[in-house]
Amino acid sequence: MMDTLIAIPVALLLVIAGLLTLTGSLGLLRLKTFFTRIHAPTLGNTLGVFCVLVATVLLASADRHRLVIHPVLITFFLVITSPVTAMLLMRAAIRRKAEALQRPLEDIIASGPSGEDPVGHTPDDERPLEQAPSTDPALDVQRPPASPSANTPGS
Amino acid sequence: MTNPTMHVLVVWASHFAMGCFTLALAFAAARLLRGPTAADRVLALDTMYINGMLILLLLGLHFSSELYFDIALLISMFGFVSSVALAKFLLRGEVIEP
Repeated sequence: MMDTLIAIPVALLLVIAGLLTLTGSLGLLRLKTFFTRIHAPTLGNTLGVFCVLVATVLLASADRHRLVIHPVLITFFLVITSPVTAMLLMRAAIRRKAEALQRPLEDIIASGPSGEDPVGHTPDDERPLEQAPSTDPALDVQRPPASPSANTPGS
Repeated sequence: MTNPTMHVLVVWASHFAMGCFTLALAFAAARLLRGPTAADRVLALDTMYINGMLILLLLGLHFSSELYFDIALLISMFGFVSSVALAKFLLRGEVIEP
């Protein structure tokens, strides 16, 4: 039967698209820093849109007994535009983080995405500028244990 | 009204997918309200318009109507333009540079 032959892949594609989109948004909600958070929706949503549009093409083509190709337009448009948005947002986030910490851009890039908390949540945000241009990237890892050791003589 | 010739498997799968998309939209809205930086909020808005577009496409599949496709295409285009404008504003401080 032709109807069931079309209905099984369409239902499978819709279920896969729902799960992928839900995974992407759950990653957006649950991950820790911005630079890890941007991975989840850009990957999950593009594949979810692709699956839904393939399902639409299959169902409309079976319904009208001819090839209906125009929903592919949205997929084509989204595949072009989604990386552009993600790239601009990442550059903006790196630049704003560098400006907030008053460190050069290369330092932020070299310290990696999981270096510190997001902008504005670092406790040593207003430290003096003499220590600020830390050319040693390993200094970022040692900074949190260094601050409690400063007040051990007092205790 | 639902298309009466639609297979029951497709109907249930589209109901499941609609639930998933709505939940994803709610998660993105929570990140939009909670996000610590401005870039997080722009990313959440970017996810939200894609999820809304997916809901519209699914409604078009469910009711077998052509109108929803045009709305989805318009949402996709305007969402891209607004996301790029917001990201450019975060990057430079102004959208259209002299």
